[in-house]
Amino acid sequence: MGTYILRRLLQTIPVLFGVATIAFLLSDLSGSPVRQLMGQHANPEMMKRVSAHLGFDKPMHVRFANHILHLLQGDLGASISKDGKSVTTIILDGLAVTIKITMGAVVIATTLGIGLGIFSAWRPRSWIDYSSSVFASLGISFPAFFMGMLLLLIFSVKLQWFPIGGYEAGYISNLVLPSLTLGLLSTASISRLTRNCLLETLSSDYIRSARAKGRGEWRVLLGHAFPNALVPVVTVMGSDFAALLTGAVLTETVFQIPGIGSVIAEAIFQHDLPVVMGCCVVFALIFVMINIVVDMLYAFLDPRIRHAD
Amino acid sequence: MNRLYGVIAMDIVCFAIFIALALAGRNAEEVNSESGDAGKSGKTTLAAKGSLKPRTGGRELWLAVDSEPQTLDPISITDTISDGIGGKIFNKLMRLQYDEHRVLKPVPDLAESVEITNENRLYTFKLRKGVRFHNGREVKAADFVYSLKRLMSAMSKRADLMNPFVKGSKAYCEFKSDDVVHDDSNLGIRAVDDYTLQIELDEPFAPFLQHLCTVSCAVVPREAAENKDVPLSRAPVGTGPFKLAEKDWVANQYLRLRRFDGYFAGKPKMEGVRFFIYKDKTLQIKRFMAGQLDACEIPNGQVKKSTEEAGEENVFTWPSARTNYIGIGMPNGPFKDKKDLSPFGTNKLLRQAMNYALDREYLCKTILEERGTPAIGVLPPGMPACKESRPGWKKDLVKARELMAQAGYPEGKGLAPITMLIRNDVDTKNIGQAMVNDFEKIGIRISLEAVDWNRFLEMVDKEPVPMFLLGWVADYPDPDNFLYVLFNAKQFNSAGNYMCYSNPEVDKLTEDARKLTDMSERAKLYERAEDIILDEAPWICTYHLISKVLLRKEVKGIRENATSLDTGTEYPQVEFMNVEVE
Repeated sequence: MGTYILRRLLQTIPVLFGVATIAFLLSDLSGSPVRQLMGQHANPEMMKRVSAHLGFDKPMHVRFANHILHLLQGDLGASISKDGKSVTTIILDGLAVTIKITMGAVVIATTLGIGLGIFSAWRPRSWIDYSSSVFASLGISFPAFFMGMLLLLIFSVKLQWFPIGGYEAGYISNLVLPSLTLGLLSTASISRLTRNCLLETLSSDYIRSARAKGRGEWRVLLGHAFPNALVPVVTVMGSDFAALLTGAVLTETVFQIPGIGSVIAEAIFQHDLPVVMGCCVVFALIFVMINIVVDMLYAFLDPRIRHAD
Repeated sequence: MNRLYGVIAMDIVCFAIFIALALAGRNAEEVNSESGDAGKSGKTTLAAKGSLKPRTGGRELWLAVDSEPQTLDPISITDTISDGIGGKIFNKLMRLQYDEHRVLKPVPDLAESVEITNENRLYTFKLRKGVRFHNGREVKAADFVYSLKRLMSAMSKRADLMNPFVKGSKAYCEFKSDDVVHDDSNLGIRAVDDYTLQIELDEPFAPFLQHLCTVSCAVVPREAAENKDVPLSRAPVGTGPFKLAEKDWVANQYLRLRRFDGYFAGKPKMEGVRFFIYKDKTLQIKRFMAGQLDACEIPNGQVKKSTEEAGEENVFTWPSARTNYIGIGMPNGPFKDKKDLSPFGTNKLLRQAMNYALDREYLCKTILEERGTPAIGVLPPGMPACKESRPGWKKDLVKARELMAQAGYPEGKGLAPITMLIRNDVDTKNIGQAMVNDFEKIGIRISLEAVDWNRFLEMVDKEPVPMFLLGWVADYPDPDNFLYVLFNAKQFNSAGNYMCYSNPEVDKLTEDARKLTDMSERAKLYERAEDIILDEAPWICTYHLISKVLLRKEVKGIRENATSLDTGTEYPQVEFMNVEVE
């Protein structure tokens, strides 16, 4: 297992290098950020000086080499639009907020998603199943910004239970609706997947044996079928978690939450290349790491799966 | 079954982490205030009940900004939010204040007096004694020498405030040094004694005192500016009425400025100012209506509704030193052989026709919801040398069509469609479309090309573009900031003259006016220059902005002191020590 993890970790290096290279090239193509930084009217001589100070006067290959060299030392550089603030701090500030929403969303998605999935599989083609199916279709087809605005309209504007948006550390009320928005999106896919996997497992021979032995329906469902149906569900949850973490841009925009999604959106608008590049590398790292964790969870969930060393 | 318990356990752990993270970072002080005085601030009430309740009492002013300040290091400040917040933390030698005729003029701030000698080339500042930095040290003339030299360093974005006007500044800026500042005996900035500072210019430059009113010219302590651990941009140390501790800048949430009790002009009336960062203007409005902000801007299309909801007494309207315009690119200077520019760049009559086709009244009344007045010229009303009796342009389609015919394009026949470059935002598109509809009536067909701000600047920097929509708010209240900066042939492209407009007489008038100090003399030159510019119409002046914001009537000291340079709710020019929240 140790060798397996090590090998997987080593494999992340070329992935991160590739992401860093593409991010650098794309950012570079979008032009220098200096012009926007200098305000509406800028003396050309001043622009040259500022460009030189920020290193934008050097040829592309030199800047690329510098970028990779710093990256190898774990240094993501300094922001341009936030005057010298370290990119790592900016990303960590954003992630800290996004992780809170994502955690809430995971709780909602797994509890509600798996619960609905089990009920649907318990009585397939019943009204419970159909209702859950409609719920899932709505969840999948409602984009985050629409769901967000709908929840805002109901719970903030009409009922006034939650704030209208914005974020202040230390208050759960700010996080409930964003978490719900994000969570409901994943709930749909998790509930459908749980149902289908459970139904498939329920048709296996060993389930028939369990039933033949006189086990109660719930015990068969939860004790025998469910654990074996979990593997694909966990895969989806893993990739969903990574997607939630890195893809909360729309939700964060609707609720004015200063998470990582807002950080990257703002950096793109301000042509803050170091932050954009830093976010790309960190996102890639998150995806790769979560994938490794999910792969390891397989072995825990299904003892038949063993990773070859 | 164990695995099921595993999933349930994972859920519980996730939930526990969510709660723990959500509650983490809660400010102990605010928790105390919640338990001790639940009604003291709206924020705590909001948190306690999750609903919007008005804030009552509290002596901290709560303002909203669209984004974090880019920097709070004076020499890097180029955006309005940083300027506004920096203005509360720093002081300069001079600051702007209205005189008895409501004209904005530089008055001493940290200087006690200023004497101008040697044919208007030598400025001698007597400094106030006993002024202290937030770190407790007294400000001396050497601190100003350091700060102004630092303004010319390689890391500065505003060296243009000193270079090339100050004697020896060009050579100082070009000198390569690893140090932030270096010794240069030829530089015209020197400390005569602890409380006397001299600045020598190469030649007279009338708006120099106005340059010194800019936040970038603020005095900073060397020990803080060169502290490698905490950059000045994140933890500013100044002399201003309010100070900002590093912990009070909560990333993407708010900046909390606290009163500086050692302020040289006395103790500020408020305990502090808090700038909440809300990107969305609609959210700002909602927070204001719920009593959780003292001031915020009104987004387009919501003026009437917001005014009704908030009540007239909570709306504050004042004129801005801003002129919006359509710029016309011209084939001048290095671009004289540019053949693909439109006939608008070479045919004055076409540009004049545009002036009469535009319905400025409708634009201001309906599209801008009375947040603008029809333009009367380049200089906005209130600006020194602005001839407020100028008639402006009334919509006159007959005259406009006549001019089109004289230009050789009757009813627009033979005139190819033209593209107007605009910024990519909804408000600008609406304004642009209203103008396009007006021009179509006389046969001028315009299509809008909306691009993001960076692209816009890149395009107009490179060469004159046929037509673009833009506005200019004064950096300092002097006609030089419009007529020289935006129309002199030395200012082509990024320096300000995006049209590449060139007229030798305008060049001479605006250059001569810089060297005079008597405003009545200068005004004559500027008036003549503006007459020529308006006749040649490189700008189709559209409207002068009127700022309209929601400002709680309980806030005292802003309405009386807001200047035409304060276009948002950050009020960079207002002396905040006298502002109070009742």
